[in-house]
Amino acid sequence: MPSRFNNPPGIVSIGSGAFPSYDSFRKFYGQLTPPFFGSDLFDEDFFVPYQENWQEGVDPLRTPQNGPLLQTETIFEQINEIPGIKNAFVEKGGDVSVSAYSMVARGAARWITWDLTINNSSSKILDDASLDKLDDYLLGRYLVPTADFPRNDIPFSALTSWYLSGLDHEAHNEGMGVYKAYFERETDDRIKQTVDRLKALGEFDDKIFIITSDHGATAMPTDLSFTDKKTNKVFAADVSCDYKVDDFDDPDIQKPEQANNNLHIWELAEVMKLMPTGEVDSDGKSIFYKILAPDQIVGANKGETTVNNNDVASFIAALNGPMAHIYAKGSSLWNEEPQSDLIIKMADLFQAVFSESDGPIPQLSSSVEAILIRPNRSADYSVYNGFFFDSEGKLTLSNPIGLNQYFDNKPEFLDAVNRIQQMNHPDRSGDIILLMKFKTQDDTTSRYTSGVSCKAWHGSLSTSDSYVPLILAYPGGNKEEIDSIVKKVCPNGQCEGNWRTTDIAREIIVEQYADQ
Amino acid sequence: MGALEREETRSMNSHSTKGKAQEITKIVSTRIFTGKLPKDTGILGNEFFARDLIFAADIIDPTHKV
Repeated sequence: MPSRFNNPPGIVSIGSGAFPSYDSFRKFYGQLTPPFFGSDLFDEDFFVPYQENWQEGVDPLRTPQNGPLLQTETIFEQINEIPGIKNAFVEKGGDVSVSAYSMVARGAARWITWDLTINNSSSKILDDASLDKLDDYLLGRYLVPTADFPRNDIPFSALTSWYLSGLDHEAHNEGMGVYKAYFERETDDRIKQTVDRLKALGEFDDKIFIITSDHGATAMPTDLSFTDKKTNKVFAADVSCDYKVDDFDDPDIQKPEQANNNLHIWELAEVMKLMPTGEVDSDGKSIFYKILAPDQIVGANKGETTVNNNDVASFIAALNGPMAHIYAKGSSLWNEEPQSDLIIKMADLFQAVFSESDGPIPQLSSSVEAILIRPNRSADYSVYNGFFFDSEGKLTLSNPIGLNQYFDNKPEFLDAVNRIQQMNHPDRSGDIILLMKFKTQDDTTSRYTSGVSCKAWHGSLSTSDSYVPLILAYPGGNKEEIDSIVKKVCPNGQCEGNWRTTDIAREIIVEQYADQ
Repeated sequence: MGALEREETRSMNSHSTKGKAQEITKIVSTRIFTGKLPKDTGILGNEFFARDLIFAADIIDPTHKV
């Protein structure tokens, strides 16, 4: 794991928008002298591990999201249990399932990961690496006969998934202005190459293709600036998509970062500097509320507002674009019920800071749409609306606003109540969620995010982030065959707008292999 | 003209589908490959804090090999 993500036990950092594996590649460019395989750089990757050749499948448990962290079965695990599937594949030397450059692969018979092709654009590298690796697999698996299994005796996998991440990367780094052109020029071209390969192998007409995307994207402001008061020169805000933690207190880094619309982890620490409140502990020492943050921030900030000791920190923050999860500590341990008074105090601080025009982070004033609060792990989220002390002197929420009431007249948030409720996890969602302003119908300057500042972001509840295409295609079949499966999974049109893609894929495989 | 348009597909259904949680990469990737939502998968974002794993650092060590 890259050292900057060297979080304490319990913090899960998967990608974080900074895409550490890309950074490893960047470092790698300057040292491109074979043999490079197996270098420490690749060992650090956790997004998707590097793989030297496809013949040896990578163990999905090498990435955190594929281990016990994932609490439900994957489709790969589900189809492994289909009666007859092993007869159809394993005993004939085939792979039940193949996951090519994906992130969730637990249970896949073969997990194909990174290959490397040098190109001029990092987005293209991602897509080239993905295409080349899948192509290597297809060629080696289905074109070259083996002594034991001549060509066509090896069955094509029941489920092959393939992920192209370049489009997302390009949008984050270059903005939405390049989105369509990149899709047409690069993404579509690689789909075409794979279609051609499958046709050449005679593996096209009998396949059902499901094409979809994980999310949309929305442009972020890119023309923000700040003025150096000493020189009166105007500089551009930082929207580089780089995760600035080293030397963050250097003005050359701090000022451009403060001038963008992004709530950075060290800026969050600045907010927390406002909180102690004059309280003292049993030893008479002032109580500070501290946020647990990556080690680099800890080292730079010398423990005033951030500490690397989870015994003394009070909060943990996980910044996920337009939603930021804030977790409060229990009375003595992190896995205990969080202290409700801590949660309420922090929500109140956020409300004060993010509604002022002259707060500690001027650019982020009024940047939060709503402060969602869950005073205990079994509660629902509501919108924070102040507190009072009850008759016993206990901090108590004052008339919290229900989600239905708050989002009732906010059509810009798509299905917000359900989507927030579906994220309520007793152990893993925040005690506080900062919902950043993200009005896509307004000028880009009204859009805010957290984590890393890029030229485009996603993860809000806006329509532009939330609608994705879904294509079901059966080139050698007919529409009725597809429709019958869709209707079986989604009778009476009940999936309209929310197609159960995973269930459709599984049903296709069940129908084909269950009786073999 | 795109690759899909170039194909003479005799069967193609196209729809749009909308999100059911936060549309951020790790949540949605997990949803695609499990059919479940974050409250069930336990994958709450690209970053999140897992209280239940605070004392199980080895489980989430990405270099962990089985």
